[in-house]
Amino acid sequence: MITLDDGYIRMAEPDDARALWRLYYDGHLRASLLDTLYERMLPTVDELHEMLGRAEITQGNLFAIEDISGEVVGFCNLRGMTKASVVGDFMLMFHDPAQFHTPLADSIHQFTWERSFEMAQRKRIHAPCLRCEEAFRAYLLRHGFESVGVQREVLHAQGAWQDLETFSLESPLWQATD
Amino acid sequence: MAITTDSYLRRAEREDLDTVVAWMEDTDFQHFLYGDPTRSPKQIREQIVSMLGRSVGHTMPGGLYLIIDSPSQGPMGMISLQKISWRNRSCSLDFYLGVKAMRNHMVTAIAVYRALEYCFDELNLHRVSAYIYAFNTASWRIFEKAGARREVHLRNHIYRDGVWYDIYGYGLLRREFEAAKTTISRLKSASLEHMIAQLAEAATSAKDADASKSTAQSGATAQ
Repeated sequence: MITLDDGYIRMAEPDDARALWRLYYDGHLRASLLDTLYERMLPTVDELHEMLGRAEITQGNLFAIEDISGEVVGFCNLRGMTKASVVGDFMLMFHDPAQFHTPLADSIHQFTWERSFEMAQRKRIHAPCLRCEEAFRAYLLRHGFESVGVQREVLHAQGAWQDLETFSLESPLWQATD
Repeated sequence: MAITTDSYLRRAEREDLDTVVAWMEDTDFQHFLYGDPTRSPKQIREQIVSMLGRSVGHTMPGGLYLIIDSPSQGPMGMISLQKISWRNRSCSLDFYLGVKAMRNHMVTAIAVYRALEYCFDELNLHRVSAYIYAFNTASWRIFEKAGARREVHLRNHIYRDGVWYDIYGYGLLRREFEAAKTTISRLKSASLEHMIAQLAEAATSAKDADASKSTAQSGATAQ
């Protein structure tokens, strides 16, 4: 477990299944919870419990974020490199979108930076974000991410077509050794 | 001059395995592929076998593989419709011309056009995506001609042979394809031959426009 400003971050574990499940059912659309076909999933707590028990899913990839009281308030996902390049994926979800504006969220950016660029030496990280995820979008822009484009009408949810924007953050460390 | 073709699209069969493997093993062909270049021939073969696998009739497949075939030329290339989402009514499209002599020929544009018609008119999809190397101008031009928009630009994204390459992400919505069809020709009621002639005419007009533009520019420079 790593101590952050106003909270903690640690690898997710099966006991976090209920907290993760809540994210799927709270009525907010999140790009981070779409599958590879950009489809929404409705997992059961049991399925999430089983998924969180698989080391390849959680270890070094999926992290639970706790506030200072120890309650899980969100999750951070840092997925591995693509096959032919060195690009990682970054995802951040909070139960309460207002959390994106807190020092805890800012310190997760520092955590992401260190793990992605210093430890894993990625060239860049990408963050998918639905256009309706305004708080997450503002968070990404505040931390230096730049939009690389919008895929229009990729998801049909809540009775409407949704656009998916991809953000990118370059590693200055990589550029120095390129 | 009218261009004619006897090419057609069909589902890929198990019997196509050796042909597709031969294309995939060609280094020139591999240059345009998106996958990991370190894959072994065995891994490539296994991937193709899984692609050509039969799907049960009543299931909705996640991918469809079409061979560009012709009685006179034989199999020339492949179009793959992958990541089909039946909920979002979308898929991604890749196309490969295995026969080198047929690259940059109108047959590719026609095959892609027919595949898009299949996506929208038969599969009832809403959106078709494609990720294409920025240097592969001929390919993304075909997509643009069909009405697709460049939505994503991934800079220095894929590393091949010591060089970083940019990738373009394209998206084509059903209404845009319909509009493109109306714009370039009256294709819906036209024969394939008429469609080809219209496409050729559109390409020639674009070329003429480019040529007169560059003549005008060089004239302006000379002055």
